Amino acid sequence: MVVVNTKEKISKMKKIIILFFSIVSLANVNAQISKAELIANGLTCSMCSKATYNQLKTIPFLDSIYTDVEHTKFILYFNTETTFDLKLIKTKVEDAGFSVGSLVLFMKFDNVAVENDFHYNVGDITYHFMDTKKQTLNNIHQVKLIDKGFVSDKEYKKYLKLASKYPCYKAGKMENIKVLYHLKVI
Amino acid sequence: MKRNFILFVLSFWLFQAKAQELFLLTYPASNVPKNTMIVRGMNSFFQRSADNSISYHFMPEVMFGINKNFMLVTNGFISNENNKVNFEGASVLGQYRFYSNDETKRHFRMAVWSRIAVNNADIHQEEIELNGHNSGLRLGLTGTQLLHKTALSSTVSYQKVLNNISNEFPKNYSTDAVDYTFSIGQLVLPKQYKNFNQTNVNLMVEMLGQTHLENGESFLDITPVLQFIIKSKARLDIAYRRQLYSTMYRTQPNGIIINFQYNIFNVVKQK
Repeated sequence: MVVVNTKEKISKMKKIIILFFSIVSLANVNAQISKAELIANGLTCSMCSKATYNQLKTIPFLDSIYTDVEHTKFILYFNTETTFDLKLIKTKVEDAGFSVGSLVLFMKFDNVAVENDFHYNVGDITYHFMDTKKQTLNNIHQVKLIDKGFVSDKEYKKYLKLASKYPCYKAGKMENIKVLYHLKVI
Repeated sequence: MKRNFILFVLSFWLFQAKAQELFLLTYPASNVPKNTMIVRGMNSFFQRSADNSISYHFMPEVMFGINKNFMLVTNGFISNENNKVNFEGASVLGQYRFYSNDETKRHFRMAVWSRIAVNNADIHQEEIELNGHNSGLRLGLTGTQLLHKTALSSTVSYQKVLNNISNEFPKNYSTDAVDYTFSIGQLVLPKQYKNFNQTNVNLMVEMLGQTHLENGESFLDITPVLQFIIKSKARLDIAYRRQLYSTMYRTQPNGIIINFQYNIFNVVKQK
């Protein structure tokens, strides 16, 4: 009898663990970003844009990509039912031989009061707002990712000066935070 | 050398308009994108000074982007010397981009590269040419500046010639050389990009010079290039290389080059 009870306990524990991980993974699913506007830097010609497009095409969490060759701009449509890793966008642009000039996210908020230095947690991700006026965000807003590698070196240096009191901006990470991004409401 | 410099500066002023950096005879400091393969077939028809006959060379070439900073290039050399098809040799080139500063429609990049060539052709001229004529080693440095539609690129390299497989390099010829190049071009069409299917027309000029370290002999060539980019993945170049001056013995300095290449993106499927 004791053995059976232990088995039952283990089974119950398993169920709880599975449930816990299901909740965690649900929280990771992208419900907040529907699309993004990417401008790639360091290129002009259509062959270079094509190379960038072909790298971006391999990103699993994107549903489709529209390319504006003249402005080296790519509109990225996210699959809202999968998880995402924004750093993969940067990696793919760099693999094509270029850099991210800007990445503007179209992000959904539900009455979120933001201001400078506000931390917004969604699942494993923490969004740290910088250079942002006090305001309440509701529905879809455009926010710009301002971390190193997501803006030009010149712009990064500008934000570095603004963020002198936030060591997490320079470090790109923070203790006990799994994924950290710095955003500016535009 | 002074004459070379004046010609370089002249060409800079003449063509300081709009250009692209997809050069024919030199590689810019930008590499082939990661996991992209470029297959190239370069045909050159050069006139032999001795009898005005045509020397034909075919160079099949494969370029591959290993990662964002490193690319590998390998090519083979086939000629019609002695009125038969000869497979004369091959070379491998590796280029490492060590500096890159990107802004909107601008960049400045620098790269180092090296070529190793093995060849079995007859040695019939003082010019050192690892692309099709000589065995040897070459080590170079490239700087490339893109300014919206204007691109300028320059390389400096050192090369050491070795004996060809069964043809010894003549003892009275210089075995060490410094090469210098300057390339510039102009995007003519389209005036405005609408999609990937528009044919791009680029005009380019490349200047290639060589100075031998042992005896100071040198030459300088100019190569205007008309380039078509088709559907943003194929490229056709039509060029004419002409000697501006030479103090060394060259057997076929002037000729036409026709190049076709095709980009294959995402070669290795990623999970």
